[in-house]
Amino acid sequence: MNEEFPYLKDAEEVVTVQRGPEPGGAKGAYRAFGETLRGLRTTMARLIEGPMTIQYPEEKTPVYPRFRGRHKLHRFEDTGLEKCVGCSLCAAACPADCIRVVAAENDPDDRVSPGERYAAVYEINLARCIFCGYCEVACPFDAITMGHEYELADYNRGDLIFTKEMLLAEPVERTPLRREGE
Amino acid sequence: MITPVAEVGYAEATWILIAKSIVIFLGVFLIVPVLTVVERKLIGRFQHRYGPNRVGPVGMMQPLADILKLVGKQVFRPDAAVPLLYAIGPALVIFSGITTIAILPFGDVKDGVGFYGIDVSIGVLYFFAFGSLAFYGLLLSGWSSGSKYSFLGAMRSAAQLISYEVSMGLALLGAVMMAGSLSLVSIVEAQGEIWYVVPQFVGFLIFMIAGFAETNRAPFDLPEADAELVQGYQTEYGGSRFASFLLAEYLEMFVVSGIAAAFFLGGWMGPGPGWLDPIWMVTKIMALIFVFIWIRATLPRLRYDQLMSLGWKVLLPLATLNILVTAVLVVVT
Amino acid sequence: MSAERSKVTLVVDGVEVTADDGAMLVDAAKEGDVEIPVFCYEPKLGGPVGACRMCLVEIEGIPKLQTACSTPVRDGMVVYTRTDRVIESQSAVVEFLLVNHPLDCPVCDKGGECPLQDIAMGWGPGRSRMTEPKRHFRKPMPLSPLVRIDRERCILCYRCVRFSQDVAEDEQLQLLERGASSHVGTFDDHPYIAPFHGNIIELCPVGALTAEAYRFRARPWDIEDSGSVCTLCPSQCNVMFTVRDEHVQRVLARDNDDVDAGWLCDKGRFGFQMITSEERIVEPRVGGSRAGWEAALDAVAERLRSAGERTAAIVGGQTSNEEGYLIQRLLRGALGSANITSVDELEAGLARRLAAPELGAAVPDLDAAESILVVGTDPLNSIPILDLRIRRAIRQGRARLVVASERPTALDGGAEETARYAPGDAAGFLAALAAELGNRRQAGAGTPGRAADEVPGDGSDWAEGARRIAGELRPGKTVIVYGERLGRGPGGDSALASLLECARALDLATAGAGVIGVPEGANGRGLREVGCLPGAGPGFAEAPAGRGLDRIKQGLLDGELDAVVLVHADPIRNLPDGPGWAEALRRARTVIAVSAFDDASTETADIVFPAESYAEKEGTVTHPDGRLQRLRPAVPHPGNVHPIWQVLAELGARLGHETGIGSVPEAVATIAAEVPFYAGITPEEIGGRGVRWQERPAASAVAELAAVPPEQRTSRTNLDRDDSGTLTADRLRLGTYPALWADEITDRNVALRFLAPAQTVELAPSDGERLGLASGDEVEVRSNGTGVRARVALNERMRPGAVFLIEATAAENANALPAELNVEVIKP
Repeated sequence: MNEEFPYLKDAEEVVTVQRGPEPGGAKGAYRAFGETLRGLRTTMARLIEGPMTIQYPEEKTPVYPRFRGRHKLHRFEDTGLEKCVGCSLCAAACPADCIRVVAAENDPDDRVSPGERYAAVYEINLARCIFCGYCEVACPFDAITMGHEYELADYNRGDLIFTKEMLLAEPVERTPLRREGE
Repeated sequence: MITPVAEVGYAEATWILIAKSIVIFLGVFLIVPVLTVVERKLIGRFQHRYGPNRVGPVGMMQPLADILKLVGKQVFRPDAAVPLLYAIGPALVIFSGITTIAILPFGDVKDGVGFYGIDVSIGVLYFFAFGSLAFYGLLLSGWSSGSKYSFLGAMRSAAQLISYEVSMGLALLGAVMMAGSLSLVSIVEAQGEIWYVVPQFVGFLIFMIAGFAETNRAPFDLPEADAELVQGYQTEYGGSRFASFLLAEYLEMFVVSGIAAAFFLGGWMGPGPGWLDPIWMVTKIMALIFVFIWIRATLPRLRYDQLMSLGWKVLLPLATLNILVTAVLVVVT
Repeated sequence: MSAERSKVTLVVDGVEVTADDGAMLVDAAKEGDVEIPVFCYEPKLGGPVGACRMCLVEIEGIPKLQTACSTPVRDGMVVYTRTDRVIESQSAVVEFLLVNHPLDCPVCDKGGECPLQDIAMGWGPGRSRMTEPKRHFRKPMPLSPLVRIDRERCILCYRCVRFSQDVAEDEQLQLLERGASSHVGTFDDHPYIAPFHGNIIELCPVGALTAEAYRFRARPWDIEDSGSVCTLCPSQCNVMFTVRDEHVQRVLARDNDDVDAGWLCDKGRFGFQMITSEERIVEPRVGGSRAGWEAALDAVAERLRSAGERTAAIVGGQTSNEEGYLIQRLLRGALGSANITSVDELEAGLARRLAAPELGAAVPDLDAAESILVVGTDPLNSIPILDLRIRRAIRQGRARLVVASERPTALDGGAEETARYAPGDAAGFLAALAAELGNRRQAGAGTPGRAADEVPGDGSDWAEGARRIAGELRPGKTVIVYGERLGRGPGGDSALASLLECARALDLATAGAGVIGVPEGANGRGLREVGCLPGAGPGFAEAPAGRGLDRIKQGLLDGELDAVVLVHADPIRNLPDGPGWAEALRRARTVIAVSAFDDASTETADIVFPAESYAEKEGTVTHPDGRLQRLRPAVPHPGNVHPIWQVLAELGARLGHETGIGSVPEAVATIAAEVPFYAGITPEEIGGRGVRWQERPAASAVAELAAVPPEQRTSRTNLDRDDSGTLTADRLRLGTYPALWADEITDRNVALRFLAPAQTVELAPSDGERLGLASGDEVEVRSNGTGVRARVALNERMRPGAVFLIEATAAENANALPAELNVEVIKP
């Protein structure tokens, strides 16, 4: 039985709220003055520490090596052929359904990829992509990886559909990489 | 021989007076824009940020951009507004700010020129008289805008100004009593031995707190209260008229800091040769403005009832007590 | 069909399962939700072979593991499919299959729908101990212009070879070499060209056989499947369109044992390219220039209104029932014209009697029939899937096949007896056969009838042939597959009347026996039943007589008709006397064509409406055995193509004849209300498998159809006997036939074009010798001043005195010759 709230059967139903001390009086004035000074000290300390802002367009937050940014398609370094064979497994793995692959048959005299098959069309709709990286996991030839680039804003949606040529192009690496221990 | 508009301790030739006023006027008008950007940058620093740093070197051209933008805006007036009063409001506010600058002393008389606008014998009263005119400006613009938010803001600032003006006057009274003069030049000169901030520390504090309220600055920016009243009495203003309000706010801050510096921090006095005097004065003013900004960066806005109870229940009794003690001490010594 | 089999009970993995006696263990286990992996087992290919060893299971009481695919169930059998021994053997089989199988699944087209992938995942060991290099072949090699073979992927399951040997019976695919060098191929690497060879792609359990047209086009997760019916020929096979990005990429069989037994011909499988062809007409045209629908409909309505009853319509075989119904309603209802016919026109009374429900045989009846008579048609050319069906019936040893035709058929080799009559003599032959059969029946019943010899005419050899054939036919247990083209020409009515008489003499109005007419157009039967017949309305209802094909042509030539509407029809190419039709269409005041492509007939048209392709169409069609099937749209209409039913309904409305039909289901409901034997049918009832109207209760409502009284045998005097009686040295009797690949479909599909035949004149060797011609000679076949160039092919199975040309070829069309029986073959 709760004496304060007799209509409540169980004392546990009472939730006590922590209240600040009553204002006013000499104590209150002293407290107000003291707290104000404490506040002033706090802000002054921030002033002395100096700004922590990263001046974004000029300087960038370094990303972790496994950061999942814009995709990259890769070529074999020795032959220059595309690693992608257009198997569409990335499209199957994609939960956002943003990858479209249309495969075609390689011309033995003018190869695009090493196997019989290559991706004639490889499009990623980055307006839809959720950067989960499943495509990278699904790829049996390590042909697609998630890069570090995250500056993908554009003026219209159509420009966010990245074609194979755009994904294959050596990206201008503008994103600093986070160093060990940073 | 000229006839001064008021009883003055010292008066120069008319052309010097005109030249002086132009210099002071221009100086202040150059300082105010700098103040705006300095405030924004300082608040940024207080919050781990940079503040404006995009326009011009280290962002110092920001006020120019702001002013250009504001001036370039369409001049408009709400349908419900009272045209003439609506236009007079901001002018009145600026007028009161500028006129009070006239009595700020930046030095004593050197080579026959007083380093101040005018040294009236009623100094403090002059300050209160013209300073209070600003209140009419606010009230007029709030009322004449024909908007409930403006009006609410105006009413708040009326109540606030009245509440705090009393404490403010009483706070200064201590210093006046000690100096035995109302003239600011005399009061500064009276601080030759010790700055009044020491004997009149309570008065200084009360003056500063009341000064925050007087200039509508945080934590007493209730009339503007951008979150609640959408800028209060300024709601319906835009473009250059809005800029006038902004200018007036910084002017007042400058004036209040100037008065405080003159009354409590020894005005222009400082080590070094005599030509450093104006620099000392400006430095003190700037230091006080820094405090203004610091407080703004630190304290949240008071609730209206807290504002009132602080004014009437704490500051007023304290100020009265301060005068009593000062009076007794003055008589005893 | 055989009687209900008795049931047995067995235990599979501890689950009690009831299955048909004699069923194989693999199928029985499915009843208990136990899957036993298989590679070689495919009931469509015939009996089990037990070759792949994937399906080994342990059976209590038998010491060794047994193949579940070839072990019939027995009562009380106890089977285990997941014991250690079984798992070990399954792992071993998969590991062994993968020893040489290249793991190029990301590149392989089968990836994602590959039984080997599935089984390796489900039952395989997971890793291989094989580190040696794999076997290599040259790959991928074209097996035919349409199919490529990758021999490295082949796991030698024999499915494709079994198809070639046992189902299509073309025997071209063989397993060559032995041991590690074994591979599937053809003799001397000749391309595998056969009308059904596309089926091996679907049969292949790995990616060894891939379609040239589908290579690398899509992955199973990129595509949508859309079931429909192929309306490229009367087989009306059930198909599954593979659709990606709103384009048909592939056509697969959608097994329906009542229609196609799971096979497709190559025309149906590869003939989808024309759906996305650049050449398609996708906008209405008025006077040769593009027009909007409003303008085109207005123009047509105005012209038809002024033509009124002087309008005729010819409906092609690809037309659906709804379209056929609406066009006949447009003519009969809105214009008051009775001149509506399809390319499969029959005399109304005959059509009525041939459609009698108890006389109609179903396709599965062929499986159980004791004898099958193919008369007046070559199923391979006209209804290809029936060719496979008849072969299967013979192979399974139940049926005896007899063939009576003017031209050698592909089925001759399997026939017990064949009879060859001269082109145009079908009526005489059938009369002789009817007489012979009637005679035998009455002899059996004790009353002697007319002997075949008494049939008028020079029918001595008919009588001999009729006797031989009649001897093979079992009364009450025979299915007659006849070509409806028997009904063409002057003696046509008589021929079909004799056929009916044969059916009656054979007691075919019983279950499991009957006749199946093979129309020219895919939906020939359906069109007749919804009223596209000059003498009968929907449901063969009595209707004012109108003009048939010949009289429409004549009417146009004489100026008695003003307007003609061609729906999916190109008479200049596809009907006899093409030049006559060209002249008729040229003289017609208004020609309105509904066509998907530009052809000779649309060139003469004043207004052309774009036609839907069969993958875009919604509606119903009727199989030659009376099965109503549903067409469902798989892809959207290209360009500005509108559904034809909508266009026809809109035209009716503009001509003041409101049909009240605003959707396909409404059209079906209207047809069901007007055609008594379709009564109450709904698209839902037809469903994905179709429904034979003869098997619905409503069929009894039309018992009077069969009871249409006495046969009116038409006089045969209109047959020009004088010319045919004497065969001079240079004058031969000309017959024409529709070759499988000689049609517009082949021409419009780039992949199939290589199959389009050049015009060939077939001659008996004796005639060739007499004329000094050898196979391969260039000759000209002349008749009445016009000629067709052709290459000679001597065929010893030809009847001497007859020559054959192919109809509807792109060039040197046999239809360009006037409708004359006698021709001369001249070396130019």
